[in-house]
Amino acid sequence: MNGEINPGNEIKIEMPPVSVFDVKPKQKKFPFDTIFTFVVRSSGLIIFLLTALVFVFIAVESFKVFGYLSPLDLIYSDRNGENIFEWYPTSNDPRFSLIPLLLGTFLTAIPATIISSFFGIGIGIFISEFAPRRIRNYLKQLIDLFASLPTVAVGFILLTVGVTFFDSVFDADNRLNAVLAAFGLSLIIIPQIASLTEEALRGIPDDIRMAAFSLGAGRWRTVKDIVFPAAISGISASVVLGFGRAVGDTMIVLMISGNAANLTLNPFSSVRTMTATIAAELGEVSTQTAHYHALFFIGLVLFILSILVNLIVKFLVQRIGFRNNGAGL
Amino acid sequence: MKRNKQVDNFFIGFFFLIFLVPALVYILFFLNILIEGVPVISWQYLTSSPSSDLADGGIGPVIVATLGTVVMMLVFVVPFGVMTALYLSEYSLNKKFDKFFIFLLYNLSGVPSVVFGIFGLGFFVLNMGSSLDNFFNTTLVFGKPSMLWASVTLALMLLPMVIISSYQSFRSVPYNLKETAYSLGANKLSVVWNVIIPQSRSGIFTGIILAVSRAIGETAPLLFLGCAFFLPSLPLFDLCVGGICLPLIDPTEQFMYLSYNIFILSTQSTGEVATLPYQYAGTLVLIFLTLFCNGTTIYLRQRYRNKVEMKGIL
Repeated sequence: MNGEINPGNEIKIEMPPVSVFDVKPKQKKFPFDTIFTFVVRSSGLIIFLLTALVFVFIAVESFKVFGYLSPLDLIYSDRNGENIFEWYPTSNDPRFSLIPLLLGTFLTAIPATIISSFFGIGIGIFISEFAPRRIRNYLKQLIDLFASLPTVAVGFILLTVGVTFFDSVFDADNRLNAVLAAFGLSLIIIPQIASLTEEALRGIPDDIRMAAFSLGAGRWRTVKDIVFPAAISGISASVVLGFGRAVGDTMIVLMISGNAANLTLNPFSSVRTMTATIAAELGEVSTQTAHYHALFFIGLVLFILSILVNLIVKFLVQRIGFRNNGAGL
Repeated sequence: MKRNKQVDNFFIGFFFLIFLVPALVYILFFLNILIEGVPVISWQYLTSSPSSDLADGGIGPVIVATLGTVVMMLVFVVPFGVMTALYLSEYSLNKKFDKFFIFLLYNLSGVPSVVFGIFGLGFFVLNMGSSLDNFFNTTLVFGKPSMLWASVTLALMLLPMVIISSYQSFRSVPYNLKETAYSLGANKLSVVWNVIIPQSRSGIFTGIILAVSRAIGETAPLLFLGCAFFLPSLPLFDLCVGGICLPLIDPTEQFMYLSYNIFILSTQSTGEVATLPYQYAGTLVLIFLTLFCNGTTIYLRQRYRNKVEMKGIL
């Protein structure tokens, strides 16, 4: 049916006489477009390879530590049947237990997270819910400004002024201790948590607040029972991010945590964190030794911690998106 | 109703107090730096070179070397950052691969800066540097901690931030603008060049300036990458092109960095009392530089937000 042609209605298509020379070939320009595409794609691939290399290189270098030590040596050293948890990589009888460093990291990071969650979430709620509308934006911008305070400046001020002050308030065992470092860390984490909390709260539509007001709830009850629970995913994401920053910060803990790798749970004693260990020892270590690779192993631990933090944050943020779509507000 | 009001007022007061305590700490923090630092700052301090005990003189070369390092970092960060963002948003090859790439970038942006320091020392200085030395038949030109590797390491650390920021602003260019350009016969390059990049200029700048601000404030990755605590003068060499000579900082030598200077002075200086005013002044300059950069990004973001709102109305 389609292929048949009625003999009566033959369609004749008049083709104009065309010679090859009549049609001007499309002017071939220099192919900038193709070249640019190639350049962009290859630079993307280069950067991809470089980022992947960071992961691979640190993993490979840190696993070389097992050529010198057994995995158990990184947890405790067995000396005459006694299990010693010590980090003394440069002594004649080197000991490479990571436990005191992990304890030091958590002894500074957990108090810092607690202090800065309390103040950060409080400031976020204050700015988003209670502050006068007119100055809300300015306060938010001011906080964003503080979030970028150089850590070395915070460490310096705490070292010159803060130490004496804290020494007179708390009767600590060591002048430089974990709690002091936690206070220093909170100075940079509070603005971060406050800013993210404010954003999470601002993401809750005003309709919900109005509905709560119209049902007779006061401002505080609206915040406590309606707005805060609705924004809890975003707020917990900000706290987790703050914890990640507390673990990863180097300069503050290097300057004011005392840098003694004690095996202790007392937050008022000097501690040494993983980041400070890398910062203090990598400069003087000779390459291709157990110590060098052990430092890379600490780097790998920090790396894995930061990836975990990232995954938790991603999960929490996805929950926000899911709920906002699901509830159909 | 009355009880409601009382409870509200109590909690508003309570949260104001929570707001006030850190605010007071920050105010004291800045007042301390300002009061101690401002009297030292003078034109002479900002331009002259330091004396050998660092209790006198200025920080001129330190600032120059810091800015030089940052500029060199930008040479790596800006083209690669923007082009990678373009690749992700416009020239992508495979969606699954891109998703993985973005995941990697997000993870990398959260990695502690000191980890980049060990990567920089282990990979750039000890592996790549010594291979370059072998290749060019030189001894210890590239295979030692230097300004070049410091800025490359900083660039690698800050690339994810620049890429993500530019990528997001490329993605937020309204689709109808691109379609209009294509319908007028523009090819992809001219759409990218004339529509996408101008539309997302402020997002790109925000990422770059934020990167500058973080690079200036960062110390940890530079600890093992050739920062010197005191150099009598910067290692200069003259770049001569056709008779015109330009003095440049030699990137394969040691350098000084403002934040590192403060760190060393405050932890390891011998004459602490004598250098204290200079530490305060250095801190003041450092804080001013970073806060200035950050303030610029906040201003840009605000302006951009207003522009987007305007676009919505029109």
